[in-house]
Amino acid sequence: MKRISRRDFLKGSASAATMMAMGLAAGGSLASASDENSLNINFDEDPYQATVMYWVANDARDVQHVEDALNELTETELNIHVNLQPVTAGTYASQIQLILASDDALDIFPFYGTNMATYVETEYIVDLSGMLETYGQNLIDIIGYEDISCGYLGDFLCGFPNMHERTNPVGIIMRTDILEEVGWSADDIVSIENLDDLFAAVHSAHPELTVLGERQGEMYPTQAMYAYCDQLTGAAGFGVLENSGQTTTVTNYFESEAFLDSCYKMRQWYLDGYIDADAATSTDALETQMKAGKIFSYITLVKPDTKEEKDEQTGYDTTVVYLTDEICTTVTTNGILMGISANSKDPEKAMILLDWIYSSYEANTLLNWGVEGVDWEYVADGVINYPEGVDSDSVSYHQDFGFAQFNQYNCAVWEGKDPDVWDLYQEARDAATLSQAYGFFFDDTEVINEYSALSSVFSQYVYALSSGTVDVDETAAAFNEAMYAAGLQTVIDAKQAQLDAWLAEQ
Amino acid sequence: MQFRQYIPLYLMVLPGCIYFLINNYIPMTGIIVAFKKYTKSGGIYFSDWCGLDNFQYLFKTDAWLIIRNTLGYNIVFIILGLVVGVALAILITDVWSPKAKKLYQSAIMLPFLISMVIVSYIVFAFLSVENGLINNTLLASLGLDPVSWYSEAKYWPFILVIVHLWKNVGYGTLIYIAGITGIDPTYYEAAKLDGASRWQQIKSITLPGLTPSLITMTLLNIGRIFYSDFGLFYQVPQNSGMLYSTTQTIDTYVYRALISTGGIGRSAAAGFFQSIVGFVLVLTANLIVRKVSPDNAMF
Repeated sequence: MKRISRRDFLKGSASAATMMAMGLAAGGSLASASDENSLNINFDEDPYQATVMYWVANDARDVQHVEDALNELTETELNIHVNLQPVTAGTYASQIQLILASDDALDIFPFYGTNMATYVETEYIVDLSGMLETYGQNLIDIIGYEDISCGYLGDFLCGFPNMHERTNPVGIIMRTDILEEVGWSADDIVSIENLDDLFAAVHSAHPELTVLGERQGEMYPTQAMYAYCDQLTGAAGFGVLENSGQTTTVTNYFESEAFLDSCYKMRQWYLDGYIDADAATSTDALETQMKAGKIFSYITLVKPDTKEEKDEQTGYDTTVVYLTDEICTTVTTNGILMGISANSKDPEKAMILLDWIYSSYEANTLLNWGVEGVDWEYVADGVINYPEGVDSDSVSYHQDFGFAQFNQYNCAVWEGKDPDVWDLYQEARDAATLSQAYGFFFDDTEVINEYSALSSVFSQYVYALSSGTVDVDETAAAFNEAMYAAGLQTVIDAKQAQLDAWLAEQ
Repeated sequence: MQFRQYIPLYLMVLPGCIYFLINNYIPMTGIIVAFKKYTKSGGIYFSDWCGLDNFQYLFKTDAWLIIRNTLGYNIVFIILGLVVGVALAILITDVWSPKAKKLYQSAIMLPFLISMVIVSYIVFAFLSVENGLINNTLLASLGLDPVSWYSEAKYWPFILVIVHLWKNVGYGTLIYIAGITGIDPTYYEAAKLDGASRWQQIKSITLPGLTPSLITMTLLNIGRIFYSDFGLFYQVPQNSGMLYSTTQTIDTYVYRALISTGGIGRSAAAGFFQSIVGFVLVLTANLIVRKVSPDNAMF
């Protein structure tokens, strides 16, 4: 297939058919002009008031001018008046439960796929499956049926995956200056195994540095679970499909050779002095640790533009090497879903709006970067930067939070980022191994008490075990014993039963 | 006749009663959600009943450990808080210079005002394995091996008690100082004339004079005996899993259990369970006080 770049796409040189086939967004004004007829929008009635909650990186100085600019589009094209409700992750966490339980105005909102079962059970969200074909043509073109299936819990369509990366392999982020100093390059690293020699070289050259940084939640053995297994739910993988999801038998990853081997590796590195003794309790961001000059490398989940991101966050030139293959699992795709709240007065209009936002280049750019001429201006085709006299301190709206918003693929690119990066995302998605359970998500309501107990056991053992700071055999045995005592087998059996039923339907 | 006489007084009480009714008593009916399978359309009052399902997870694993830790720590905190608080209050009231008295009083109160997150980092500065003060200075100079404080559960009962006392004792001390100041100084003058020693004065005048505030403080604390200071048990041990056997309390357990899959019903169940145990303990404690010294019982 002919590869089209973002720039070509924005110049309109690629045919519409190719664009659809590539899963890229349909151009805003073009697509909506034809949509208006099919949607039968009644422009005589008062505009529908829709409240749209979305994630942002910071509390902007001025949201009103963004809302006004957006409403110029939505009122003329859809006869909908949008009330924007940008929330940072912290605000979201503390407020969403209360908003959903109350009758506060809320139409479109983002949520974590992990919460699907709870939201369906408590009737917080609207089933979108009936509206998909009628009002969701853009969503189908952009996201694709295969990925939309990850938003289903049984027959209930909870929400649409936003356009973030679809595969999360594990990679190592290293400081290039030190890597070169010890005479290594990215090509010398083939797997986790030959990191031994590199770490030894770095350790002897820079004994003052922690060679491998770690913190709670970002340690190789648990991260590798994402890369090797389909977890079937968002919660810590109590019962997974191993072997990149190329099996249909649910097993306990924490007993597997792969997990134990990775723990032994960490233990060996810890005993060799490559890992900080406080690693199991550290919560400081690894980017911050690297920026402070404390660590040489760390292992985390990566995506095509990880290097640019980490260079900016750490202040060092970094080298990124993938340590695992790329697989697609439901958990990764439905990490963030865009759904419609049960508080919505008119879910159909909310659905029309949601469909339009995914397809609108202007809307996605507005929500992420603000208003043209005020917060940014074009410096090249599809590439933007601050207008003259505006900088990161004085700008009134600037988020750089596309991965958590609606459709970052259909959005202006900030100068310095590779304008073709979304093509790379799409390539990674297409090349990745699809789990055999792709589209299946475990409904955990029947085992919710086991889940609670397991979560507690998990946090009790997993950080110490995977940090390398404790003996592996002893801790792993105690960990697994405690997991079974907390009801792991019940959860595995329930997962297997639901998965078998799902597979039979396919 | 009498009732009519008191009407103005009843009227004065009325706003307070209405406030309590609306703010404290009507919402209390919401605890029934602990026995319900909450749905949005049903709401708190009309969702389906589900019996004790919401309570199950509290007793799933280690229930005994969690209850033991929560009660054990609180009992130690109450007793030591009382003893240390009163001792410090007596020492401070005996300081002669008013300036020094103010200084000590404020100094002892200061930790009470520090956020637990900051306290957790102060503790970390002492206990960090890599750079901590204790491992690198104290133990090193004594020729002892460094200890990985954050993975050895056995040290934490002491660490947590010390941190709790350091942080919270100032509040009690302040109340006891006020109590001591309220004791009529002529008692002490008379005792001195009769040749009572300082210890006899404390035993026979200060402590009996403080008894009402001691009992009130203790009863208040007993009412919260099944709640734990989340910051102390979660932040200060840096959420280290290896320490759960001595740091897991009901609040941290509920947090860790519900962080993945929440639910209004199960949160309410935890709160309900804590309130009931607290309520029963307050009644029991008050019953004992009434037997021992009826004047000081709350009801």
